[in-house]
Amino acid sequence: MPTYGSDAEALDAIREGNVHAFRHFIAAYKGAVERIVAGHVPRSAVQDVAQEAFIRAYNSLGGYDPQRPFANWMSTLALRTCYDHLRSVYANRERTFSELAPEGAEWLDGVVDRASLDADAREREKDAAGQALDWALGHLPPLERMVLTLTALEGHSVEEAASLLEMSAVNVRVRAHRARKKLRILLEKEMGT
Amino acid sequence: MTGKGLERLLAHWRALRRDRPAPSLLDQAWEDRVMAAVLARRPALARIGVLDRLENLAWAAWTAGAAGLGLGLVAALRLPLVGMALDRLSILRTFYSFGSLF
Repeated sequence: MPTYGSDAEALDAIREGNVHAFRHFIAAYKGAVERIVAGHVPRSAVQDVAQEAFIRAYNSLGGYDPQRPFANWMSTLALRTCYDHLRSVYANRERTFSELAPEGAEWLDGVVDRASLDADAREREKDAAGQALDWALGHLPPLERMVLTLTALEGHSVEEAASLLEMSAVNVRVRAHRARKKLRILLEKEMGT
Repeated sequence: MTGKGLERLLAHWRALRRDRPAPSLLDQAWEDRVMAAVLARRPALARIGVLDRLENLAWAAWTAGAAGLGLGLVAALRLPLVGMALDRLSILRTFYSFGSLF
């Protein structure tokens, strides 16, 4: 398979009918797409959502403006694909929401009282903590979940999150506030605090 | 739960996400699956190519039409002036043809 020196070259090849040139974009951007997708959807859905993001990218290539960096365009597409996935999951929440497993509940009960976790304890409790996180985020509406993930868990500023989600900064602040409030109510209910 | 408690919890989760070793799930087999799915949608790309060509053709036709119309308009407006100019030229030529007599 020929290699392409730049995105523009690969894009030209695709436009001339060489569909295989799309592999250049998959190889070049799958790492970035995986980081984004894994940050927003459960690990079990990462492959499917990432695949969907690339298929959307291929189908939308006609509307891609080559003046814009492909990485930015692809990141936006990946985030939108995550959002659509979360929306479909959230719409079926009655069916898909499960009770928090005992390990996750136990972790939640203990974590607030602990000052910090040492390395061994953290290693042991990773699964339980991850489970509790997935459970808690799964109860938030998709947009609030994504805003909270970007701002509170991935360390993006409000402005960065607004730019990534193509929303206003004010809207991001409001959504983040609502997400925190809902999370607190949910955890109070779960932990009985 | 207090706001502080929630922030502590979020901090734990943040640390967990930073520390969690996550081997890539997008291996060569996944790449092949995506390419297969893309190849199955090949007509979409062909459409893009055809639309591009149609767009170019339409643009060329529009440009040629607009240029022709413009030239026609200019010619229609300018022809009488050109005629007048030629008339004047012939007067001048006539004048100069007699110049040798002086």
